[in-house]
Amino acid sequence: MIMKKESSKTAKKKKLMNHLTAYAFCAPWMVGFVCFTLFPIAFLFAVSLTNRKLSGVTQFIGLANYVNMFQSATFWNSIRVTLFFTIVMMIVTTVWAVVMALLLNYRQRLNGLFQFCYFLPSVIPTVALAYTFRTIFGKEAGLLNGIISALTGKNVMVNWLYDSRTVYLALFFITLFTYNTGQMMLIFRSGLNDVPRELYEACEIDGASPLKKFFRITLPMISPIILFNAVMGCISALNGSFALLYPLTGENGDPNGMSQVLSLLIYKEAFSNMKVGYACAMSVILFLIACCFGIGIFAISKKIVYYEN
Amino acid sequence: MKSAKMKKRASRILVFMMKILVGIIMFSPIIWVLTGSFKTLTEFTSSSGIFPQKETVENYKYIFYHSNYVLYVRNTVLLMAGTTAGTLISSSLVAYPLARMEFPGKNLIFSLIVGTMMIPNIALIVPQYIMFGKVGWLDSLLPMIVPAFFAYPYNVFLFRQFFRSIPKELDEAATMDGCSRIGIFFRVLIPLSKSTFTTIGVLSCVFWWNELTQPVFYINSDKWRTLTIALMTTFMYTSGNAFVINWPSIMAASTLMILPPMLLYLFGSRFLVEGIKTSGLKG
Repeated sequence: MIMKKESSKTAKKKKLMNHLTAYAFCAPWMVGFVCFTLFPIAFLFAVSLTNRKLSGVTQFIGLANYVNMFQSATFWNSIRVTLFFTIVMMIVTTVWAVVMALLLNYRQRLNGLFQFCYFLPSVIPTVALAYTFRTIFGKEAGLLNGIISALTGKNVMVNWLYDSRTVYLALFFITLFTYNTGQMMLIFRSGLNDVPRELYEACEIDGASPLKKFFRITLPMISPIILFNAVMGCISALNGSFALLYPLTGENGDPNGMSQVLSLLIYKEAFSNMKVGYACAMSVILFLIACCFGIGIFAISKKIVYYEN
Repeated sequence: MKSAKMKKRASRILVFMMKILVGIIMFSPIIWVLTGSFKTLTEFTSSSGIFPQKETVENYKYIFYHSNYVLYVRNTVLLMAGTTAGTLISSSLVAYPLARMEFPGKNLIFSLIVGTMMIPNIALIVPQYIMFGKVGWLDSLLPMIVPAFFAYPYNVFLFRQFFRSIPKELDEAATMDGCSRIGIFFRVLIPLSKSTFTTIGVLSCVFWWNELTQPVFYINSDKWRTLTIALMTTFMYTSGNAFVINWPSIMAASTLMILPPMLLYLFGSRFLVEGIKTSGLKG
């Protein structure tokens, strides 16, 4: 009896030790979470209620920033652009990543070379990518105009990035080359490898077409990965659009603010107009948009994503 | 029977053609940058030919002689090395108990990690800017390197997925042999996870080599300028004329910037696909 009590005591002690070890391992994250996430969030809300300037001068002004913001046409335009850009970029890059992953998973000769070609653009720095495409889409001596001119025999002079009719076409084309697309492609590749072969074989016996195979087997089996990538794509569209658009179309989001996403506007207000408090109020909105996207995607996923268990 | 074989063959060729087409689309910007870097400014702004009529290396000379190029490379390498070392150490440590131990609050911690993964950095960058200003870290690499030592949620997530795929029996066997929890991490998990460490290391290096947003916010002076900012400022204009954009020198600088990530990729490509574990993404 005593023996048993003793052993249960040591077992308890051991368990406690185990828990403490686990917490010790988690400690770096906990510190980081408090210092670099939780505190900045609280601070963000606090500063958004002041008229803080870049110089640090601060005065509490209540909700005035929000009132100004909701009356500003620039702000509403930027919200529209942000939503549009995020959703379309998420869809375009995810589809393109799936297409590339599918092509690469079809085993053929030279696959290594193809993967190299497909993945390489995503390691180009976004700034370099932006400048490259500014010259490719340029009006004079641009590669695209040159190709079209050569094909049609006419002298085509379209300023792709500054023409309101073509700017979105050009921008979304550029997103195919971003870091995020390449990374998604890799994740899809490893996901496609995990789809059991037997499923395809069974389907082949039934004489299903490749298209049917894709929609009946591949798509449902990789749906959790699509969800994961959609979430990541969404964040990186919100997050990475700054690095792409700032060198491409500038802080004003040319032409006519058509590409001025919220992050560009935040930068402009904070550093060009030096209104940090106002920029924080906008950051709050960006934060809330990100939350909505996250919740929205998970809500949809419950309905359409296939889970094994 | 024969027609089925023909059909299969035709589809193989079709797929191959599509692969080539996608390859051309994806690779053309790189060719354009590379050949553009050998053009003169006049040719670059007047002709859309892919190959230069007369190759010149002036653009490369311009970068080396008219800017602190070596300094920018040093800054970028410091940033890359610091953040990558930080995230590899801290993220793997945090992922270990989440993947292989049972303790109260585990699910809460994991949900918070997934939750913070969804907050775009840019939403919090202004308060962080003020914060780092208070500590006196602005205009240095510290606002980017220090947080890396406190685990990035996304990397924690990737490490956790991989650690979960290693059989738990190994832990038990190691415990039998008198290995502590810490011992298991260093002697069992790390040696088995080389591919994940390489993958996350390569991805992190590439990310920070290319990162523009955070340096643009945090760095002002030439002293800590990274290559990405230099591309937007120093290399941008021809000397003496601030209104003419010096495209070929930007192309030359870009070419030089593409090389290191390209080599990293070549080195890491063996690991890239196996290192990202998505099986068990559901759990």
